[in-house]
Amino acid sequence: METGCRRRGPDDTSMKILVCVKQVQDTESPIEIANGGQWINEEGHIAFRMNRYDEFALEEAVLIRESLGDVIVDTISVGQQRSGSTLKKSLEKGAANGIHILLETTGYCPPSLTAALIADYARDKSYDIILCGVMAEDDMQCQVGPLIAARLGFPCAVSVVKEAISPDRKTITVECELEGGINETIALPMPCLLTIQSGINRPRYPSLSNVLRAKDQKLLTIQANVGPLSLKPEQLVSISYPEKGTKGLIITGTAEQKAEQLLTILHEQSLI
Amino acid sequence: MERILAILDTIANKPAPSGFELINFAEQFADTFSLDIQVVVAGSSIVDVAEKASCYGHDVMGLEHNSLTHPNPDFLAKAVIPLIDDIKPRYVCFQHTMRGCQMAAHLSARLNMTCITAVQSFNAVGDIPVFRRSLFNGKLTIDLSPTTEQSVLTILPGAFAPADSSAVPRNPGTVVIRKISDIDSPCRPLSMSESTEETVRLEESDVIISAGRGIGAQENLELIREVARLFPNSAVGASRIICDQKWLPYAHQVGVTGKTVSPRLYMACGISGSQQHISGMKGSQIIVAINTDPQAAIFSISDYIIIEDLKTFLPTLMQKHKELYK
Ligand SMILES: Cc1cc2nc3c(=O)[nH]c(=O)nc-3n(C[C@H](O)[C@H](O)[C@H](O)COP(=O)(O)OP(=O)(O)OC[C@H]3O[C@@H](n4cnc5c(N)ncnc54)[C@H](O)[C@@H]3O)c2cc1C
Ligand SMILES: Nc1ncnc2c1ncn2[C@@H]1O[C@H](COP(=O)(O)O)[C@@H](O)[C@H]1O
Repeated sequence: METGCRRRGPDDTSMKILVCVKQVQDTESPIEIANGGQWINEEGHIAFRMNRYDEFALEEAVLIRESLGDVIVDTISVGQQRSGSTLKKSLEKGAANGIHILLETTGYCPPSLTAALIADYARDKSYDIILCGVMAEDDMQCQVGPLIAARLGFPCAVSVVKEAISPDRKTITVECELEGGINETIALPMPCLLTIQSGINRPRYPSLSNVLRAKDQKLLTIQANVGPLSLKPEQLVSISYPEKGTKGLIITGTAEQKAEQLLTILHEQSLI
Repeated sequence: MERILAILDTIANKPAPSGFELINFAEQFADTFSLDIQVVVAGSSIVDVAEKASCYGHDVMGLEHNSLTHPNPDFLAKAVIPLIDDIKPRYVCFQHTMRGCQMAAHLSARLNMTCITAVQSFNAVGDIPVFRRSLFNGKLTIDLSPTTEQSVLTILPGAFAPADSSAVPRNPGTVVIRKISDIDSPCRPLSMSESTEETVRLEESDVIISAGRGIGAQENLELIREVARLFPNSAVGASRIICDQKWLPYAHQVGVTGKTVSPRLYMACGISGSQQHISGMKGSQIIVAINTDPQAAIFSISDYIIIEDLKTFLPTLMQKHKELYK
């Protein structure tokens, strides 16, 4: 039997949750174009970390486990070798197993590919809930979650800021955030997929015992099998730096000089 | 002629705030690639919106079902599949809202169409469209092209102005209302609620000093408050990250899921300038940004750019103000 694969009997009420975690470059790292305008320079000074929305998704899964008890929380990530460190982090934060779909290619990764790989892994693993972040901070596609749901035929709710599982563990009621402070309440049957919005909880710091456990634990690494997927994703033409806004004035000098100049400007505009 | 299907976002049988921007995009795109426009609106009672949308001169189809009173993207995505099979549009476009993204993903997976999201502009290379969107929180832009006969697009709110139905005299398009038969969608929208907590009237302030994650610690909000006190009728605003951490109540949040403001002065302190934040404050008269990262996207919409650590710069600003103006 494959690791993580488990068929359930009629009395088995335990639950399985899969959390999709993406490794992203820290947005404050300087970013420079490389590969002839086809991608960025990933060497050197770029820091990689877990997508923040996925931290909220993972925390929500751990909270569900803490309140219901018999729940298994797995995490999955598609990416290069380095994504392994983000999966390790997820173990430190409380996931039971980390699954690494190893995709060696660098460069733009279409969401349809990521989603197809995750859906293929999850298909026969009887997960009750799949959680994603509402978006990845680097590419902001907001696609991978609903794509996985469509591929698996799961109902899906996006931008979830609150969830409650029914006592019979068959349905989940969620609050989805629309724009401008409006929330919508939706009920959906499980299995289902939710994308989690920030603010739903307060992601915890890893506990020492989890850090120690994660150190020794192996990830389940699976080579991505892209061949049979027959996807027709969007094609990258090129990457460029945004056109500089022409209107902005860069205030220069020492901090004192900058402060003085700013005050002068605000004074001239009769703001102070 | 080939068609572009523009599926407008509606909430409770009303067009969403950025709804009619999609018509403007569709018109510009249809002009470039010689397409006909078919507008789609959906709800439980949608005639009024359909008629309003038809004033732009394009044919409108209203899809009606009781399950569409509240936004129900799972249901609606499934409901437009037969329509796409029927009229075979070359492009299907949505607003890049969470619901639009969900529907776009559903269609692209089910119908194996290329999907390009958060489109800000487009170009034609021969007869192939190249769509531009941003990457890495606005630090780069990426150009993408579809590879399938039919493709799905989501258009970034704010990238195109709302279409102006009075600009050129137009004959209203035809309106057809279609009742949708039952669809196998297990999502059940139950209700909608609005946040009533109101602790600050950001929209009414002349000056907003806003804090982002760059403030580093909750104590540093005091710096922001002190700067705000320099101005009459001022308020403290914040990025979502600050409100998520409950450092400030939700009413202070500026952006798509917070307030849309247009004060005389907006000072962004330690805010990177994500699209979701910018869409709520880009209408401000004067924008000043203070950030340590010279590549921060907020600078691209700022009038005055200050590359400094706010934790040292704001105290300096207060000090100078004391010296010069008191
Ligand atoms: C559906 C959806 C809706 C959203 N709605 C909103 C919304 O309404 N409003 C909103 O704000 N966000 C919203 N977001 C979140 C948004 O995408 C960003 O995550 C958020 O705006 C980032 O906040 P920030 O700029 O404070 O933090 P970051 O992006 O982390 O930026 C922090 C900045 O501070 C700078 N910095 C760090 N230290 C210092 C220092 N000492 N001095 C000066 N600068 C410093 C850094 O260089 C960086 O640019 C939404 C996201 C989604 C998916
Ligand atoms: N490479 C990846 N590996 C695992 N999960 C991912 C990956 N890319 C995206 N996701 C998940 O999908 C969500 C949305 O990503 P996106 O559609 O790229 O905005 C993220 O928050 C993750 O939960």
